[in-house]
Amino acid sequence: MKKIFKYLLLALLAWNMSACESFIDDMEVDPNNPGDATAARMIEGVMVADMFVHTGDLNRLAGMWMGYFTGADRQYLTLDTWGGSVAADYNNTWGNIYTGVIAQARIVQEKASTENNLRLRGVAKILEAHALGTTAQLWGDVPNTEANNIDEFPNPAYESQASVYASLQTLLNSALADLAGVGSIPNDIFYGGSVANWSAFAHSLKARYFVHTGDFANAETEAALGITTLSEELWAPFGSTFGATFNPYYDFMVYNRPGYMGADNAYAAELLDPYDLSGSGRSRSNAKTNEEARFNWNYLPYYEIYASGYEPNYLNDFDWAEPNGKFGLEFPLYTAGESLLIIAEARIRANDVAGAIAAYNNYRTYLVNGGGGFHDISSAYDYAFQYDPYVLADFQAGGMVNHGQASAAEAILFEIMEERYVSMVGELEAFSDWRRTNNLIGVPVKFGTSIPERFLYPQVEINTNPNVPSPLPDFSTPTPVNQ
Amino acid sequence: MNGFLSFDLTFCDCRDGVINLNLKRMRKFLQTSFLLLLISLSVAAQERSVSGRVTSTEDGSALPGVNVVIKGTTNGTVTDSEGNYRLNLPTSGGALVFSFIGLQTTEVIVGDRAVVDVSLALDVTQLSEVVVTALGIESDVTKLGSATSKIGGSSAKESGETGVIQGLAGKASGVLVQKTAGDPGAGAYIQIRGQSTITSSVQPLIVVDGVPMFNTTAGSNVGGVIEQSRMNDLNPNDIESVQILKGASAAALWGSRAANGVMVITTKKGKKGVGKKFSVVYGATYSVDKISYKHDLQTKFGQGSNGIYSPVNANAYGDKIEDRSGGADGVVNTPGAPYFESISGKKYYEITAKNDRSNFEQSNFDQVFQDGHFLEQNISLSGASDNSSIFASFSNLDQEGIIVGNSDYKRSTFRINGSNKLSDQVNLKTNFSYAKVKSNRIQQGSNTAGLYLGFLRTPSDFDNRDYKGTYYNAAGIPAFNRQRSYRRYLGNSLNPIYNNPGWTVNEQKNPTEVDRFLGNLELEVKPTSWLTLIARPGVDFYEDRRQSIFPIGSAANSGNGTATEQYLSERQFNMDMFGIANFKLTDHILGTGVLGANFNERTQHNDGFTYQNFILDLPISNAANATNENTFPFDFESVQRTSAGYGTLNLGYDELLYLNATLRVENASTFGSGAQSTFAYPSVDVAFNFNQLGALKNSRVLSAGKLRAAYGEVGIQPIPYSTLDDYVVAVYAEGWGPAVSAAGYSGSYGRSVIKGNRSLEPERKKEIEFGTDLSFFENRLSLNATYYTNETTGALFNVAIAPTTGYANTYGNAASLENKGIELDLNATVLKLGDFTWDINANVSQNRNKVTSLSGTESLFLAGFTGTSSRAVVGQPVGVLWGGRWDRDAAGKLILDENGFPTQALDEGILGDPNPDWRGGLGSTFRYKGFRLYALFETFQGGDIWAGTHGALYNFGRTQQSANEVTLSAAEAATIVNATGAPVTSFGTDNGNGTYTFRGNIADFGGGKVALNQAWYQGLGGGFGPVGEQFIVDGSWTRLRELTLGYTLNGEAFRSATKLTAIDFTLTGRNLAIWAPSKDIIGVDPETNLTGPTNGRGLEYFNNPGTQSFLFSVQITY
Repeated sequence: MKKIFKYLLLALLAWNMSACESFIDDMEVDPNNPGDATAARMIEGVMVADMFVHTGDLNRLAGMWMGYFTGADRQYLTLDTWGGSVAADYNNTWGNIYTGVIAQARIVQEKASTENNLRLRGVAKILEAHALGTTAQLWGDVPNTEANNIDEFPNPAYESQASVYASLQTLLNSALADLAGVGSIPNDIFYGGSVANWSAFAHSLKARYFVHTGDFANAETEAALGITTLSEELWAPFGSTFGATFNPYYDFMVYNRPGYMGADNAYAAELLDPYDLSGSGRSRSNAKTNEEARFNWNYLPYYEIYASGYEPNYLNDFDWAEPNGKFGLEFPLYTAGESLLIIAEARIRANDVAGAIAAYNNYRTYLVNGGGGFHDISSAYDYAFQYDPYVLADFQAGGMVNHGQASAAEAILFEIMEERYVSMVGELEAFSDWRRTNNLIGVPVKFGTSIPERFLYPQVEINTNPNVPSPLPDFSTPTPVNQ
Repeated sequence: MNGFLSFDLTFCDCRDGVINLNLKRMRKFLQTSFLLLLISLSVAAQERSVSGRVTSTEDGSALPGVNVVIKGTTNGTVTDSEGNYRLNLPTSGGALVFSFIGLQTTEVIVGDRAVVDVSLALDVTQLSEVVVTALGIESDVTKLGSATSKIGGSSAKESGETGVIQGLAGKASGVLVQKTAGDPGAGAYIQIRGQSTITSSVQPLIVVDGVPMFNTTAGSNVGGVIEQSRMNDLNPNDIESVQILKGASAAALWGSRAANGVMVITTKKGKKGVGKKFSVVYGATYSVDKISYKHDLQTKFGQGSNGIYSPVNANAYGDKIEDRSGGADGVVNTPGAPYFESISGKKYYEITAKNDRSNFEQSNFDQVFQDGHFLEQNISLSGASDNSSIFASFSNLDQEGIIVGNSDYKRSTFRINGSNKLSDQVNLKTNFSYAKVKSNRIQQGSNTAGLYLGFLRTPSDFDNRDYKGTYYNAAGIPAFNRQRSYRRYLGNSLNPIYNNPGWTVNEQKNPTEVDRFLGNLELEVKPTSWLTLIARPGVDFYEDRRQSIFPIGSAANSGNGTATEQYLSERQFNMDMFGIANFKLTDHILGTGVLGANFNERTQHNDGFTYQNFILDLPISNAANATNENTFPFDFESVQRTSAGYGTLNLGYDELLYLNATLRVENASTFGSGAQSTFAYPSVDVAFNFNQLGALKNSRVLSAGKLRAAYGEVGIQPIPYSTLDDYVVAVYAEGWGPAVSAAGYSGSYGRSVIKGNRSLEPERKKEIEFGTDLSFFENRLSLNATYYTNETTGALFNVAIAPTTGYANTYGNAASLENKGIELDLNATVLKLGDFTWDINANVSQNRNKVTSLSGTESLFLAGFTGTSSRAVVGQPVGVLWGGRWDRDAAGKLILDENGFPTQALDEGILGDPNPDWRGGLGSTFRYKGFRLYALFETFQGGDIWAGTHGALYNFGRTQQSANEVTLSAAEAATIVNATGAPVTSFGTDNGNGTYTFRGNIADFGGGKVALNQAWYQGLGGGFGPVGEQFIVDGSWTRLRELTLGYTLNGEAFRSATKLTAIDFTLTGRNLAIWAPSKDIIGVDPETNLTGPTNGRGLEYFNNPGTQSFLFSVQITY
């Protein structure tokens, strides 16, 4: 009896010892997540990330600093100016740019190459260029060729802003070549697979980056090839699902952080406000211009739902049964208006006064004919708008759009830049304008004596990448293209 | 003589073998063996004889085998199986000395008596020396070379805490136990000898009756509800003892699960009653719980901003309440005016003039706080026969929290522990328990739908009581079930911005329901006298079904309603098979060897769904109450397995020197396929009982003396599925909350930002400890001291990678850290006068922790907020508080702006250290006859805490300090400026006599006097500004953790009159007094943590309050 027990248990022990290895084998694969995905099933994620980084917290920060919005509660009281901003404020979006857009776009490019879907590869290149161009514009020197190759470059080098801009033009050219090739663009939430629209967007990005680098001749050429009609415009297709498709502005101002950010005494609101609710006397409406519709689309006139004074118009159809305000649903990423204004600016910078006026009037016609975003709210509430053509006299001394400038050319440039300012409320491209023109239009400086010249390199990059520029530039250091 | 020899051998086994020494068993051996011994003793005839009976004080049972010696001689006898003795004395007078191992040696003057009955009390010092090893086997403490702490089950129970772990606070050196909040069922944080990992769990492995038990606290975050710890599912009444294996050496047998130490819990086993085959114990405890700390808020100024009243403003920077005219407010109540009608029928109109001077501080408090209470009842049955024993218990706890409304905790448990000796060779034991826990919780923390956020921010001139009703707009159209909050006093919007606290506690629902099974079987076979084979399979399983329902009108999801329902479950299967062999090398060297195998599998599921934007305005648990577009399912599962072989060898040289060595060789499914596949965990320790040396052996001063040294290695397993790159749904989010997901479009995947790591290994902790255990004067004074130093290498964490690499982080063995510390325990019987005794138990510990490497990461986020967080930083103790600082020059002087105010530094840095400099506990017990009085003081000195609430309340103008008023002369008022550079004359009140008064404070940051007013407190000087440095305070505390007065009725007369064995009455106070320097600033019990038992420490942000309790309990033993 005793022996039986003994041998039985000893045998059991021995069997279990040998079973050790097989007991734990083949358990590495995560049952919760796949180990791979196809290019077709990745491209939409890149678009989602790209539209998020162009509508998120960077937009709000820049928007508060440059007179679009006003920090009204809690942390946003201090973030209202760059004086209250620290390196950690940039971690999130920087991470989304590199890991969400650029890294994934490059993976899609590789997979699309293998699948010989050149058009899909082209789209991935355009999305990469969109995010990388924004990054170079906001921070200056940034990683590019060494980015997203961790095995070879665990600490990606920071390339000069100029070389990044140069490589962006090359990248967009090759994207255009890809779009002319074979393949299709599945799951396209931006353009529904339209090759023509993607090509227009690629040209428009080229135009924008030529503007950033001061190459206005090329900018005008590319702008003309780019997005010039309403059907080509790129609007981030936000929807009505919280946590999934919300416009981040709406999410922030209504769901997650109501009251944090309003637009009390915001300079842009005062420029647009034809009623002069704040009593600033800054309305830019004149005999040829009526901003009522555009004002009401961009701002709420003292409804004071969450914050005092003006608030950005976050109303929408699905929650409020109101026409969509600029911040309630879809949000512009690139409009025909921007292209048309690039052409006008390029001409005045080439001292082509007549050409600039013609181009600018062309833009005003676009506003009248459905451009600018405000037409739905206008028809819902009969808000007026008027953008009659200007003539040279209007810009000359004493003219209705001369604000004391010595020459008509200067007045035209001022008017174009102010128009860009009020037409791009809450858009990051306006922050670029503000800095490249050194606040030509005179937005009141909220903190210290000069405008912020950049965003700070994110704390996460400072902590982990020894190649981050040293010494770290602060807000007073312009990026190289603006030096 | 055969019997005598067998006794001798058994006795040797008990003293020197590893296994199965305990008093009860010994008593049984004695019972059978001493009869034979008695027969062999020759008794010399003398003139006078004394007889008597020796019984146990504990339960009145007869004590056989007690030594009875005539004092000053070697003459004596032992008691028989009935506890009787008879002895002849040479002359009159004299004294008898009664002694027995484990009982207090007692001396009795005989006088002229012929009958001397004695009852012997347990010797607590000696009793505690039976310890349980990592394998769940009992051993003698003299053989161990490492430090352990043992706490009796009754001690945990009497603490007045409803959870086992919480009841251990302050009772053992080197063990930190902190309850995270006063909410019913709240989890506790346990830390043994400092934090020896960075991001892995710091909680020790809990082993109940030899089988690991989950101690999960799932879901603790900066918002949400206070979560339970699954340890709370154990009924404290079932616990016989808790053994804490603090060092790596003692815990090494659990390998990669033992780096945080092991708590070995032994549940009660069946035993005979006093003079009966069984006993029945009924116990009931009633507790009254009160809020222990309140925030001290200002009542001088009303709602509004810049001194102007506004009924919708976020702040309490409005007008001075006493300056109002008094009487009813001016309102617009003309026909057609919009209004709010509360469910109580009261109507509220738009306020045009605030005249009312009322202050609602107290009624707002009473709206949401009450005296909490609980009733716990427990009944157990314990019985034993020669071959079997059974212990069965049932308990029920019903607790109502200090927060009004949906805050409660109900726990019912039952347990059956049995053993049956099937034959001389085979013994079968089984332990089984089931617990049912139901609880409702309250939203807290950084959460607009949380309790304190809305409660503390409400200005004192706003009455929160009418929180729900109907809003009628100007057209008279009603909107039902609207919430009325201080930001939306007419309920004219779905979104109240912050919840009215009444809504938080009454309308929102956060129930949880848990079923817990824990059971094991132990088959013990003794094929020969020297070998024991044990097989011990065990299972632990729970399912936790949670809901969080925020009805339409809650601040969550902008008032549109949102709910999450979640099914969490974990299952653990554990199998140990081992053989124990006792052997004898020489006459002096005895040994024990163990060889075994362990298989362990843990599975986890977390499935559920969130649905939002309710279709019907009903707070029902029904996912169909939202459209498909607004329903988000989630699922998670994981399986991890560990297999190991182990062996131990214990050698003893007489009773002088012991050597213990263990080795565990282990493999686990969580290790990367690119890493070495098996890992070995060795340990060795030596115990040198120098009191056994010749000269010291019979010392009257030194009763026991031991020097010990130990070395051990233990580890921590990686989390599962971290070895390969994953593709995940493309979701992007930012810190403020907004997020987008491709799941809202046609669905898309992206490569995860976490890089897979094929070379993952377990973290490894190596520890050396030295110590001594000394006891003096027949154990009246004992001292234990331990010094330890350990180093953890390859600590796992998500190493941040520059995002420009395309990844945000990778989980890897990248950190190292070290702990050094000392632990002192002192037990003394200070006074022993007749029936009066005074015992003291004290413990002090100090731990120094340092992160030695983070592989290039400057600081690693553990928990908290973007502004202030608890982090790991190289060269600093893990958990340091980190965030925005003032900008300083090289000399450390503040850099001021042009107005004389400090400015913030561009980069963040260390703000404080939440780890204590030292901790201590001091327990004092007075006993007199049946009475006992126990007081336990605990202290925690030198740890910092982030007073996040206080900082935020500055922003809202709710702190007392922000409501200060300062009067300045005209000259000063013209020159002293505020943060925006405005002189006091521009915002202060002109008193008409040249002086100016303003609300705020005067400060001097080094550039002359400046005025701190709303502009400052809502900017850099407030909690929402980027400078967390100013809100770091000393989180030290000392508390009267426990005060217990007990009385036991168990005298002979009582017993014969009632047929009961004993009745115990106990009065206990918990947290009766707390001394803390930060009392006025933190506003809650400083023993709190926002993120619960997570690795991030020292965070306080609108945490729910702590409690103090008054308990009465009675226990009847039949």
